[in-house]
Amino acid sequence: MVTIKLFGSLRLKTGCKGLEVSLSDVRDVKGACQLLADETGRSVKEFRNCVFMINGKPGRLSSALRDGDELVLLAAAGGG
Amino acid sequence: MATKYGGYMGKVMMIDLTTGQTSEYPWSDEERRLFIGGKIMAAKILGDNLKSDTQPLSEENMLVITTGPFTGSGAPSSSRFNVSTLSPQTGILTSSNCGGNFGYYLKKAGLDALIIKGRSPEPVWLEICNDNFTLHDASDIWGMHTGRVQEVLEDKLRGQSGRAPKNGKIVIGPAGENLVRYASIVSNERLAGRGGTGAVMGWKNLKAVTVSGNRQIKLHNPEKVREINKSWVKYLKKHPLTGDQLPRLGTAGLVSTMQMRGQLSTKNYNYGQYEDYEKVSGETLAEDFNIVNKGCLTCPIKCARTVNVNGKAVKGPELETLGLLGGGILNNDMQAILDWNYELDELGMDTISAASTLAFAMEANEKGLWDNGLEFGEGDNAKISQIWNDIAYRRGIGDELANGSRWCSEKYGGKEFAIHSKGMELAAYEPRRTVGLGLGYAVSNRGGCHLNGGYMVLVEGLSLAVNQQTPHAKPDFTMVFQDLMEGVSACGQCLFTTYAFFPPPVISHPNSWYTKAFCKAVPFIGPVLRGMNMFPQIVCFNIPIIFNQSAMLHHITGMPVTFGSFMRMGERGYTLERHINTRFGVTRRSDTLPSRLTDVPQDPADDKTRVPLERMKNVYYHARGWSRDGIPTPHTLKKLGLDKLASYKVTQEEFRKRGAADGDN
Ligand code: SF4
Repeated sequence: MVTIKLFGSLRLKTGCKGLEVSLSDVRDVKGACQLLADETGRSVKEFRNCVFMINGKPGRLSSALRDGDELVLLAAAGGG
Repeated sequence: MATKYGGYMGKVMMIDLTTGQTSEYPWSDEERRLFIGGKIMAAKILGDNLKSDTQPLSEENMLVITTGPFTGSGAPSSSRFNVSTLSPQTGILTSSNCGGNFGYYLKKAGLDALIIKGRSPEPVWLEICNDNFTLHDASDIWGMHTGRVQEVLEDKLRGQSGRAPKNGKIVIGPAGENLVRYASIVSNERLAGRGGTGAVMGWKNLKAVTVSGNRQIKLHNPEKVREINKSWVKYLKKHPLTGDQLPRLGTAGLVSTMQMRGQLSTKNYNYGQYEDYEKVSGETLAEDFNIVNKGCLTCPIKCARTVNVNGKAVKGPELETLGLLGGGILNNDMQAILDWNYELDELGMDTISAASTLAFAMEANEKGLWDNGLEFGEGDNAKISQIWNDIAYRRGIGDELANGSRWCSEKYGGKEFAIHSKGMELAAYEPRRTVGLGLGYAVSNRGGCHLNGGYMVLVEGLSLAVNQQTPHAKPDFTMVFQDLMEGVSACGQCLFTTYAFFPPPVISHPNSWYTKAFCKAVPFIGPVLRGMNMFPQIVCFNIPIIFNQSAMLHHITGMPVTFGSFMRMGERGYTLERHINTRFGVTRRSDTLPSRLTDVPQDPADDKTRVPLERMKNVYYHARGWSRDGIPTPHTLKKLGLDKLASYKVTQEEFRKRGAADGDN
């Protein structure tokens, strides 16, 4: 299983906090973005323009996902 | 003293509470041009009046409340006012910026600034209506919480006519009255939170100031101002930070990003990640607790949250409060944070310093240095509420906590984990994973402040992914951001508008080649930034769309302003504050962080995860034209037009007296 978590304004816009999916459905970050787009009915671009963290380390669109991974999608943030 | 410039009312008034006398404070157009307004103007006034032996809680200390030329001009997010004084928390200058509407009404009363000195023999409140200053007995409102006292004052202003004039108010709560060193001044629900301005007001026996008036604020070129305003508001509303993230999530939206970047202060900065962060994140706040977004006057961003506390809609917590009262003390109860945030506002004290001092006490207790009964992860929320009250009324252990973490660590030990700089507690960003901000915290003029420190975390992980650990170019970048924010603040505008400085595509396309290239290039552009910092005049034009402030300042005031001269103005302000602070003993040795952050890597396996402070300080001082001891050199003072100010000539003899190195190095 892969845990996908969504943060930032995209989470509020989509109402989707994240998904638990099996590895056969998402092989890489790109696939995870497509899955989120399909689930939420929004453009895949919005997800591809997020910052990706895999198990707390920066990831890329092409990064492969492994069983047990946690993928986090973040939007840029500022202001404190 | 009338002015030829637009955006100013041309009058600064001073009231001496000891005698009740008011007088006009001389402030010339030359001073307006050099020191603009806000915190820079206030620094000049304090620099002219404070002596090296002035005590924060003394009749000689002044509360200087200033506006800027943008205040009340209709420019976006420009209802701000500034409160500066000699801080009882740090012993050096402090400045605290506040939203609400007080600044606007101060200008409607015909004033650019209000100076309060002396000390009333009895508790009073001050009513200002145009040129009329009236001191009223405050014995019936002394002791009231900040929300209640504002309601009562509104009733008093309503008087017999039944209608109160539109007005702005500043008040203090019990914390200010009882001289808590980090007591705040409150205006509506907004706070001039940091540095203990509320304690100075309390010491002066001044419970509140109300201000109203019907003066017109004249602008140099109203047509142009309207034109820029329109496109600026449009830009801010479209920008991913000011038009999306801040309105939707507020500053609280940073929690999750900070967590991912290892920047979320956890267990008094032992760690940079909190396992229960989701429960106290901005997303959870927005989804489960936020009632409605709110904002200051004339602000299109509207970053404030409104939440439910005991059935009442009140202001929600900012990121710093969420971070420090969440992971900072290992608390995952969001409702508790909302309740405490409200209680602290009502008592009138800074949530950052209160929370951080509490975290210090918990760790000191855990380590057996101070048997105080306070524990991380304390499940008893009422007990923490009781602590806030004990601090505000200086009861029991609260009497000690009211002095802040520096004082407590000097008494009980644990200086290495008293998380402050120059006596002011840091603001929830763990600097070992944002080393540029680590430098900023240490050199900041008012002490451990993220904004006054340059807010490098914006590019070191929040909005952009510049290498968080490299010290390269960070000192030069820090200077750019500090000067930029100094200038914006002096204009009377909210610093959050500066986040739109980075063009939207760079922020909203973090995986694009250009954003990645920019982030990769940053550590190598130090020399370029150094050149720009040394000769800002080469940018002898305004930068439309992304940085409207300089053009706006020109059209509001009529002063010739370019981006370069705007930056120099910020630099002048920053160095002026530093120069005044040297009078109170600030040198290189004051620009410190606790050794936990400089000597102990956050990740034991990665020695880079600590702040290489001394190294960055050398580059920073050089960039600023300060000596290796962190003292502005005569050459720099001359370059900035500060050398002619007789009162600023702190002599080498004075430095020698204190055992510090001289300013000529
Ligand atoms: S951005 Fe937030 S703090 Fe700044 S003026 Fe707007 S509402 Fe006030």
